[in-house]
Amino acid sequence: MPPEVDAEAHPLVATPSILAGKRNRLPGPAGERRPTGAFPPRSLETMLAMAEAVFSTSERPLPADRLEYLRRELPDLLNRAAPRGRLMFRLGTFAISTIAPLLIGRLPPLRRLPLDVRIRALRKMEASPFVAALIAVRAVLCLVYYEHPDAAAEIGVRVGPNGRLG
Amino acid sequence: MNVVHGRDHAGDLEVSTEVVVVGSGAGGAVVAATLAEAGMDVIVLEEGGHVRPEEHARMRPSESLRHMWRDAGFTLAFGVGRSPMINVMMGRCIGGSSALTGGVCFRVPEYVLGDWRALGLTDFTPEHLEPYYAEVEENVHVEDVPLSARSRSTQLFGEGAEKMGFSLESMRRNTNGCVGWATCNFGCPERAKMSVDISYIPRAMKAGAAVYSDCLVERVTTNGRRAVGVSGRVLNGPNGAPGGRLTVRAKRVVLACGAMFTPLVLKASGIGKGSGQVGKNLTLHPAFRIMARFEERVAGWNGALQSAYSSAFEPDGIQLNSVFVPPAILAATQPGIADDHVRRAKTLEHLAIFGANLHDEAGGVVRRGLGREPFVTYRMAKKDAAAVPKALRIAGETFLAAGAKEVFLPVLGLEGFSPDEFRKIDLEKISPKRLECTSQHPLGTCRMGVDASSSVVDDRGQTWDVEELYVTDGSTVPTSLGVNPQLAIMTLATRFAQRMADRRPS
Repeated sequence: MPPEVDAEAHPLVATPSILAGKRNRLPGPAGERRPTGAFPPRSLETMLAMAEAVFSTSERPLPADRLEYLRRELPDLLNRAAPRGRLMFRLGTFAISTIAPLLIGRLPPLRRLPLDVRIRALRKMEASPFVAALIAVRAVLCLVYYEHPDAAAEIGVRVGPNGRLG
Repeated sequence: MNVVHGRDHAGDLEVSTEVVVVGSGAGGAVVAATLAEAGMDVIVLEEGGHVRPEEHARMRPSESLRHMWRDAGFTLAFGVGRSPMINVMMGRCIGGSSALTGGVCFRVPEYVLGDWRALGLTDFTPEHLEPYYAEVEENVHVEDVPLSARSRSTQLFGEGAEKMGFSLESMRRNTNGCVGWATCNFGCPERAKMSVDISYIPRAMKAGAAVYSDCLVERVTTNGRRAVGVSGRVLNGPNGAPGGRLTVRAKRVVLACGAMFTPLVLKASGIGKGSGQVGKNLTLHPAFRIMARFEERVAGWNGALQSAYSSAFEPDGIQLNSVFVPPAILAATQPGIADDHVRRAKTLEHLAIFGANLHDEAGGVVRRGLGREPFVTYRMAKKDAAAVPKALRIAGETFLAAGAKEVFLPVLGLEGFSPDEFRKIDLEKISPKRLECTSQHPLGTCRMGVDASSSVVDDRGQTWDVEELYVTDGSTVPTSLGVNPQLAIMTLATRFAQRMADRRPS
């Protein structure tokens, strides 16, 4: 269960209404999302496949609700980047999708590989000269993922009843 | 009076005023308030949206990036030669970058003012600037950060510093009622940071200024050698795209769009070609974070995000600044995949961080890119590149002196180092290209000077080429500051504005 927090006042983890998939009440009216060059679904799928690998452990796969949360939140963030920023991320995800499998002798794309093979491929890429793309995409994944209250709690972030961190 | 949301305005927007201020950040807000209080008819135009401080206070960091930061925080300066790629963070909202700073306020160091005087800007002495500083510091409530507000992360670095033979000094920040949430860059839950959207913008509006959000200014309009307004687009199209035409007629135009966008507006208007300096001389204060893992629980998110600094290494062009980030941002720095990553993320509460800024030489250029965003390149000077390994060594050794068990350098693909490993590594051999580098201090692209051949504006902020066209943001700073610039920007803007207020535009 997510920690109990004051949904109106909490600035560090997603509120229950956001976790429930409701529209963010904060100033994100439909009117703010940029219309052109929205982050492509295939790039998003690569990011989610990467997220499954980055945040899974040998004890548990990535919980489905957190994956769903990423599926909603990532496009909302990336669609607000300027075209060049979006292009950089598309290139980054393309590099990960193609290079990581090739590094372990498998055919791309990454998202079609089983989880354990994906993990192996990404570990290989992290030790390769192509690490910059992986770091950039992983940073954005982490930024959103660890705002999920369960994910935050799992790494020891203690949220107090007033919303402050312990 | 409320902010007028351009996105809610149907069709074109056409207004006349005495003074139009383009940009609502530290430079624009100060000028708007000063001129409105002097009785002038003022309009402020902001490209970004209007997020009320109480709304920003409830945002998660990733939401702040979406709604308040330009380009969702993904703006890059492309490194030329052996220079790193630099992530440049800027605001795109009412209040501009002022709403997103750590609140740090430094006066311009005397040795920097000395450089300005050497360029012929002889007025710029501490004594001359004192009344302007005093006014700004009162208006935004600049105060010392008490020792009690230092996070454990900062305390540990301070303990190491004492053992290394240097000490930390308390920063000053524009805060009132800070309780140490350490989220200043992403909105203050207590609304304790006195950024200009909380301080100067309400004053300007109370004095009668009209503030418009979602208004993109593309050009300055001129009549002969005189500015007579601005033009652009209202961002009221589908999903916030450019929609109606924006036309503002004014007797005086003040550009305060920041060091990235003011030069683009000038270039698009054909202004400043004579000097060839528009968009050049960009300084960024390239910044690096050094992390260390301790056995004790650090939980550095408890305390002021920025509270202490050391200028002990300023002769080497290095300033050390305390800093911390919310957990989700901190987790984003952790390497590894699957178990490796999650295991490291579970030790976040044991991490301490300190930052290092370079007092850089002007190595950047802002050019018009595709679309609305600038194309920025940055060539790090040899002197600055040489300072990087020194800064990393100092910060790493300082953490080790405090008892750190592992040191993490801001280098792509590098794991943490044990104390022995860190002492053995040759930092000189690390390519600058591999550095993880950020900047929140773009400055200098329309520099102030004493002649039209080498500068863009005079010492009153007026452009050499066009009368009644002023620039009042960080782009006017003539040389790199080496310290956080928001107080300097507001102080220069106050000086410019008071001189503008002495004479109404005819």
